[in-house]
Amino acid sequence: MSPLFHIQSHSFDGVSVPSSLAARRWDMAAIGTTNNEHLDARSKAACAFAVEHAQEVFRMDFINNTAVIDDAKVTHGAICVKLRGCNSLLIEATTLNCPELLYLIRAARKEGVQTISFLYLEPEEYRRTLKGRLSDYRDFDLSGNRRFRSVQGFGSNLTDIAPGHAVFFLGYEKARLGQALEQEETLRDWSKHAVFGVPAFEPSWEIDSIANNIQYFSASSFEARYAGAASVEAAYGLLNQLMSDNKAGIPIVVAPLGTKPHTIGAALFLVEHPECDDAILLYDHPQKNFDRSYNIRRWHLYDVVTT
Amino acid sequence: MMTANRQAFIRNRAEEYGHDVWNSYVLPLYFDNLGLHEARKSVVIEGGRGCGKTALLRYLSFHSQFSDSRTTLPDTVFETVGLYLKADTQYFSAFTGAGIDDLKWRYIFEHALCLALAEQIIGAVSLINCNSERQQKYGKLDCLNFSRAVGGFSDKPVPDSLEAFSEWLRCRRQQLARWFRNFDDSPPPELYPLREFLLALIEEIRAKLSYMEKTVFAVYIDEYENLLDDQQKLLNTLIKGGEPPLIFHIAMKPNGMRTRMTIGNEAIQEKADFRKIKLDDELRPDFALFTAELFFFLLVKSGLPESLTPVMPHQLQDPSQIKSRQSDEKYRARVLGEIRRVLPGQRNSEIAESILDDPVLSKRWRQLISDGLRAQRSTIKPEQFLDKDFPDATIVCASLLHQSTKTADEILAELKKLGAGDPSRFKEGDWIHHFLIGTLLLIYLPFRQRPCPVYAGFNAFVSISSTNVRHFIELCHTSIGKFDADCDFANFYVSIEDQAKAAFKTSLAFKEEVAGSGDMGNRLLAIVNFLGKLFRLSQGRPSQSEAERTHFCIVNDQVSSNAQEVLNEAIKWSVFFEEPESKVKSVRYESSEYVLNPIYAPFFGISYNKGRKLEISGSQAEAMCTGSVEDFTKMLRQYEKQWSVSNPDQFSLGLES
Amino acid sequence: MHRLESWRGCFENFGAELVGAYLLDNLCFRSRDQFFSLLDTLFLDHANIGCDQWNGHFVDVVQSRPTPATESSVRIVPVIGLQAPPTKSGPYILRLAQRRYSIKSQWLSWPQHVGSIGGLSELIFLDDFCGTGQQFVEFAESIELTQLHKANGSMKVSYLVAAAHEEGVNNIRKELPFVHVRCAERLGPANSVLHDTCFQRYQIDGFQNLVLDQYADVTKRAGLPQGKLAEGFGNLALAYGFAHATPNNTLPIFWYETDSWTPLLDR
Repeated sequence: MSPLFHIQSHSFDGVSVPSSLAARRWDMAAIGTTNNEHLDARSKAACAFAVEHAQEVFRMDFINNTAVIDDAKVTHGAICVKLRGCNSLLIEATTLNCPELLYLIRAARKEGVQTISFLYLEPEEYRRTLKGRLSDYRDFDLSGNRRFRSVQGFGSNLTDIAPGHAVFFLGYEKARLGQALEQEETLRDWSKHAVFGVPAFEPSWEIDSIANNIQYFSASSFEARYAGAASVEAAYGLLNQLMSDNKAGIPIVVAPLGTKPHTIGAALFLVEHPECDDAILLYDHPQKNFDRSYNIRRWHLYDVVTT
Repeated sequence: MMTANRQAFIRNRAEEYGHDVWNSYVLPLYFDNLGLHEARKSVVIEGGRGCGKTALLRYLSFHSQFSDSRTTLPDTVFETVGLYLKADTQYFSAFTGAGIDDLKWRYIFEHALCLALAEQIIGAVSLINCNSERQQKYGKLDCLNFSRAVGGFSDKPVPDSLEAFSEWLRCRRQQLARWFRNFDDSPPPELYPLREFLLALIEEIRAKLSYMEKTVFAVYIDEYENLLDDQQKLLNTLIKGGEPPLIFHIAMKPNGMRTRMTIGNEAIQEKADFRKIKLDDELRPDFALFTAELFFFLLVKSGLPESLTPVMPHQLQDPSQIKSRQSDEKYRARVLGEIRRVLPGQRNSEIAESILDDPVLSKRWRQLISDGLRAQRSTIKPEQFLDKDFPDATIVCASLLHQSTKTADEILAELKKLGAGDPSRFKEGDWIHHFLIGTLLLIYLPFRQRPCPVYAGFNAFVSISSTNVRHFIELCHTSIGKFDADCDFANFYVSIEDQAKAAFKTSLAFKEEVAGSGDMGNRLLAIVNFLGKLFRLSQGRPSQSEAERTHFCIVNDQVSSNAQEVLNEAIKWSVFFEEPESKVKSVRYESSEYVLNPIYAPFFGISYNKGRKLEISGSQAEAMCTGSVEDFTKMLRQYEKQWSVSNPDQFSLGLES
Repeated sequence: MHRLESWRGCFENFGAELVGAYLLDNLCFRSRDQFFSLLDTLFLDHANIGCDQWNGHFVDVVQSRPTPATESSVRIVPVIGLQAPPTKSGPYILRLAQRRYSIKSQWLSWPQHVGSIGGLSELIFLDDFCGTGQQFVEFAESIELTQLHKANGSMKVSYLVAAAHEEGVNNIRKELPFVHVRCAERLGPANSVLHDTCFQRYQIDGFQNLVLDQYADVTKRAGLPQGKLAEGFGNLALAYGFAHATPNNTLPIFWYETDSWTPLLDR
């Protein structure tokens, strides 16, 4: 069984639009919320690119468990109608989050969109600075954590199904895995995998990711796995490998709590396996954190075609 | 022996034991007070983390009561059949939005709940008849006709027999799950009204199975606090309208009921509609005895011969024995005596003695003494305060000399009185009583690598655990690690050092766990770190005039509703405990008292007792609950300056791990 | 774990726990599994880049048997250090890659044989680490790469390396402008742990000086290299290692052994 999606990655160092992307055109582009004054430079550049390079652009969001396009609530059917006749779709993944990606990929697949491209701009950022006392930043992390809440179409009642694999893509926010394990105690019996972004966007960033999550590995057994932080292919491939190794057909829970390219890979995998006891999303809908102002380090474009 | 080297204490959550806890449940001593078996009105069980809510509910549920490992079923067990339900939070919390209106979602949730409970009812009937012996005694399952019972609720045929009906229910549930995956393309499945559907099932069972003719079904909903507001309202409605043969009970964390409203316009009232049981309060009076019993019970379960322990596991599992466990003073003394042998602690005076014998710690004592003397411009030599016959008094001098109300001459005079056997302020004036633990911790404070014996011993473990059984078990697990059931148990004990190390390690682990505590986990962890550091700063003041400070109250100003929400959340997750104010001062506003959970004490090097109170202003509380990282560091700096703790390490409080 | 304890113990012996903690906090160590993930990035993502003939299918091509039409399309060649000390990393990791991606051996070649393949369209060199780039430049000289490229101007030359320092990347770009360097991890000033950029994230007064003083003190007293090699080869001052080897650009304090110093990593 070969995977459904074929992914081709393009990466370009630098702040401005890469010359080899200058000539690309798409029928449609989907971007995330842009009407926020705190929008960072990278989100602005990414959306500007999408607007320039697509004939039609729409804005998508996911509010109160409901998909929203250009401020109107939409169902899966309505998204399909929106994409009807579109041959190439650009999904701006710097600003869009996991639920929107899922809804868009699912609709694009249903409508037979030939090329789905994902744009992601990597932040120019070093490991987080440590001010004052050495441990203050580790001790006073105030980013809001959120409850895990499934997304209709990709969730399942975990207490109703047999234990399987649970794959956690992890970043440096330590509370997210802790929250998942606290909230979903039923996962204790599952075989758990922790996926870290190695190679990281920049070498040494993985140290924070591993250090911030390692506390959970002693209480509950985890298998550590690695996938390039910027590699959609690696994340998608890892999940598909697990699925094809999985002779017993046990369910796979996917928790995309790591990098955006990993989230894209996870979303492709979830759309590919629509049955309710095949692949299940576990997601905590983090609040967008707008106070961080990032520059751009690198552009990534992932072209995805259905094989 | 197959049993050697089992990790007796590795499982510290009820979830890890599965639904049938019949063989693993130790009846808590408060069990008789609950009256849950006989309850014909709803009960709301409130309890902090790790107090045993889930284990209790699972014990009461049919999985345990009709466990196949139970050889005989007394008649009384049929009076109430418990159904246990813990909803998958991430699944049910998504029953909202998506272009479907709230009313529809309520029906869908009701339907999901209905199916889950119907399956449980069928499961109970099946489990009662799980083997041929029981089938002979009870049986009559062929008489049941489910098509007649609930066929009217469905447009499609409903099967008659138990097996087929059970399969039919499973399919309904899968249908719902499939719809949830595909809800856009398919109409929602047929939905059933919960109470009517379940009552019809129950009537059929009561009518056909004589052994269940008077059975009342008690539903126990665990983790009620995780339900959406509308879902809580539905359950509140079920609570209000509950009467035999179908009653609803819920279990939740403190502050877990966000709304008292029902789906009508009425609210549910305590007493009129439900009885509230606070498990922590029930657990507290006999917590030491209970944890000791549990300790030996787990050792026996991991292979230690029962005869080597002071407990008899079957007695701990027998409701009729609770009274005697509680009232037999000899038994109590034997159990507590034995656990104190296995988990020995040092008396404070012994700790004081060992400090004076230790080169590093005694140097620290001497330093504190000479600093105090220097500040007082006294000419007395430090050695004069050293009286090895009275180590506790000697240790306390280290902080007394820093207290502005006492002079060195005065203190030395009192010490001499004590040495001469005369009444002194050390004993009779309570100096030792007030300042000893604080001073011991003060001496240990800079040496984080050294296990601090204050945290070792069964008594300390009980205090550190408060009413959290899970914390107690984890302290034991970390102390003992692999337990060799073939050991010479009469001579087996855990060293003070190992216990103290385990206390530190466990404390750190549970502190870190706070990050995963609900929607405000990170904030709560930051608050723990802040209060821990703050109390540590207080603990580091040489005078110890505000000894063992581990709780605070908010004075003069009420906090915003946002901050109050954070405080409520902290109480919900047992980050701190709320107690009504101890001293009322009429002229000003004073909040409840908030006691930091003592499990964090070993990590921060502070006391696990509730000592002196710290009063913080409304604006400081506001900053703690809603402020930024900078606010936290600023406040710590302010206090540091205000208390002018001499801090030799310019980077830190010595807390970086 | 035992090695870590001994290494930590060494810092304690010299009263330099702070520098030990600092170095450990910044150590990038690539376990075998992590290294495989770097290889995946090279072979699944990077090998395709900038070469339209693969269209995202580079691995598919090298997994298949060559046909007369495709046989000169690509060769993968290990970098073999001719400088002392000889490094065998190139052939070793090529073997790992061959096994991991089931690459047919017809697509592999030894460096000295590259010249004999006519009409080659893509030449790929493979190595695990590139520090200053000096080693690769010397290697290229030894196999007369520039002449080869002149003789076959349409041949695309790539250097796939698991981890590279940007100094090395720039150096190769300058010396051998026709070589496309692609790395899974690119190290830069922030990875030079004794230099200012790395210290910048610790915004604590006096921290940098304290660490540097302790470092100077401990290396001197423990008999670790001074002078040219004190900050690792090329003064890169890295804290980077693989499970299978440690680059010599990494600080000797991680890999150098003396009577009073037990190293953490194998050179």
